[in-house]
Amino acid sequence: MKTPGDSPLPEGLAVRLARRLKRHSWGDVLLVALPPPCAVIFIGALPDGATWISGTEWILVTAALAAAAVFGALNRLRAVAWSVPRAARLIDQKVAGQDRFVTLATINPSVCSPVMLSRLRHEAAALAQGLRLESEFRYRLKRSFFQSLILSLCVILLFVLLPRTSPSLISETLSRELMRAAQQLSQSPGLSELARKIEALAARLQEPSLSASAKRALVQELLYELERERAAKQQAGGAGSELLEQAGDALRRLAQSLEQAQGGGANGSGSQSAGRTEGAMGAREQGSKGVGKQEVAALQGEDYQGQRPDGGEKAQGERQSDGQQAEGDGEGRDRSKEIGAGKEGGAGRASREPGAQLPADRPAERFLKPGEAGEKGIKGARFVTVELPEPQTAGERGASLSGQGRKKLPKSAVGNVPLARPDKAEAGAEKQPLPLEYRGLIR
Amino acid sequence: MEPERYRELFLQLETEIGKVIVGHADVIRNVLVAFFAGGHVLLEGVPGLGKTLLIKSLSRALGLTFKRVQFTPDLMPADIIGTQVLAESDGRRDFQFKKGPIFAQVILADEINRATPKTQSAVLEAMEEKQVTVFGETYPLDSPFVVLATQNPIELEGTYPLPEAQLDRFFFKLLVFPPSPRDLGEILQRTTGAGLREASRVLPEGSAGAIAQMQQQVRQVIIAPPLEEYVVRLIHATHPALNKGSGIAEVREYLRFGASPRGAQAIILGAKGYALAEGRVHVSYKDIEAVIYPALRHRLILNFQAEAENVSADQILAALVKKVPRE
Repeated sequence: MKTPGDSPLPEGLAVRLARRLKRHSWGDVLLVALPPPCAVIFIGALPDGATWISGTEWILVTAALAAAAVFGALNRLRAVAWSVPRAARLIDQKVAGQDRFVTLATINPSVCSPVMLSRLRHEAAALAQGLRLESEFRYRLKRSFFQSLILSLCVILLFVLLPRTSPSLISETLSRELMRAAQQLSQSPGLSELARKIEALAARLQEPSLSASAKRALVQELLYELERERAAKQQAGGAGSELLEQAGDALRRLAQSLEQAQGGGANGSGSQSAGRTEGAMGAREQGSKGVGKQEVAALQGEDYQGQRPDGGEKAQGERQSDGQQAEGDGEGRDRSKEIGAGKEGGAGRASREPGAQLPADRPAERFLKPGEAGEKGIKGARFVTVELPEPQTAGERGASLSGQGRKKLPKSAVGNVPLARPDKAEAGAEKQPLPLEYRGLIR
Repeated sequence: MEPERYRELFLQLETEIGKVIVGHADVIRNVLVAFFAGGHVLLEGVPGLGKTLLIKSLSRALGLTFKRVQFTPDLMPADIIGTQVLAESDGRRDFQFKKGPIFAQVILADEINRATPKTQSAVLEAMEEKQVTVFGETYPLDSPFVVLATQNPIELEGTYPLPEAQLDRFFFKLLVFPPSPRDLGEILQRTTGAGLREASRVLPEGSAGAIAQMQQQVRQVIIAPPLEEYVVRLIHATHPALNKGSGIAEVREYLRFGASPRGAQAIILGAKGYALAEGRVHVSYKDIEAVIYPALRHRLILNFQAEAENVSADQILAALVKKVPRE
């Protein structure tokens, strides 16, 4: 059966062109609609592509992209809904047909004068003689495709770059990762306790009142515990070390991001960060410089008595950062409990247990006696009272300095034994509390 | 009649009239288009631009009978259409109808707006019905019958502007503008020399049959439905009442009433005549846009604001052509 498109009459040309252009429009629709779903799939396939937004947000973004794709496709389809008259108009434009093809494509031949109609067809056929639909109406990529592509690329870039550039988003992303890791760990036998701790940490990291340094300390503490666990698993040949490795990776990235956030956040804390490594065990692995005020707590000899968990120290350090003066170790312990049961005793136990990262050649600092110089400084030094040597008077010179070459001795003894706390009764009357940053001078 | 023959005659007529009338090629073409579409034409222009000469030349070239009526305030309908006179023949006296100047094929109604509405309406009835009725008796007018009226846009005192209903009966309203300096020089050369030119006859006298065939030919020109729909949209867009809150701003702002269906008829027939004159057997958008101004400019009723701001109907039509979509 013959269709109008097969007709040798000039109006058949318009029908053929309309079919061709319809195929083009479907191609356009596909090309417009394709990039957004591809972008969604690509982002979903990225390891941390969409981890910084929640599931609901991800659904919303996906829905928005899908809507944009559908809208763009429909818009494209509507704009290029090729009817035969429209195709005929296009031919008219191409061959300067002065609406001959439109007329032929739309008139009812039965109501036209045969003479006029045959003449019109003759004129149109003459015009269409040199017209090749394949070459004249070749398929071209439309602007809408490029718009769709650019939009999709922008979305991909947004998803790829934003989590890497925004510290808050990085932390959030990593917190979500932690939650996922915790969920995986919880399914593994024997790791549920650790999973619970990770969950608690992830929940704790969401607290806006917690400073970056405190967060980092918490993360490092848990990381250390996790490393120990992993080492133990490896030695025992047990399953779950991969899960632990994943969780460890997440924790490491989180610690890094927190460090970056801390570094970018306040330059004024630069002096404080000089010896931050003391309190944070995980920082050894990372080559980190430590956690600001936590070292104050870490250096308190009393706090280490009775195997006080590190979490407590850090919590105390955090409280200090909030303007509260750190008090005795008892208070510190109480506060460590506030942080979460997961942290309680974690690092403290870990320090006694054999582990790959533990230094085996020397005792841990907590076993040093007050006043002993450890690797990081004087054990138990919190406040050091320094009494400067007094200048000798003339009368004293004769009595005490019998000959030349004798050294001038200060009136009071100088040593590296920590003096009594400044608030204690036995503390010297004349004293000068120095910041720890100047302890090098004191030595 | 073949379309080629139509075009040939049309171009000959244009050439012959052009020999007498310098410039105004578009006016000549539009007058011929209206004539072959079977419509009447209103020519508006200041005195001395050759309106009367154009019409006389047309009638001569067409070989048709021509009558001129100078409209004045005291002109009576009977002076145009004729009247009963008492005549004596064979000793008997009875009333006989004395035909007026309307009984010609080409009528020049010069300064039609100077006559009273009563007289104007007598002519306009003849234009529409192509017949006149006197004392209960109907007299058909000759065919072809065309009224070419002129009016002066100045000296409006003591004139009776044509009512809209009567204006609507004119197929086209053509504006005759003063000639360009070059055309004026040509006019002077032609009219102040020894020999005055006259239009030659293109069609032999009594060739009404050939003219009727040409008029029939115009109606056979093919127009595509999308083009008819475009005309409908154009006419619809001229009605401010139908386009409240939407449509074209110029229409809402400056028009009181839009064009009547006669306007649409005039556009389509005019476009057909135009297409045929261009050697085509189908109407194109270009034809429609060429005739929309003469076909609609007297059919748009401007409001006070348009008068106050000196906005012309042509400006509104230009906005229409620009804004009404073709599809």
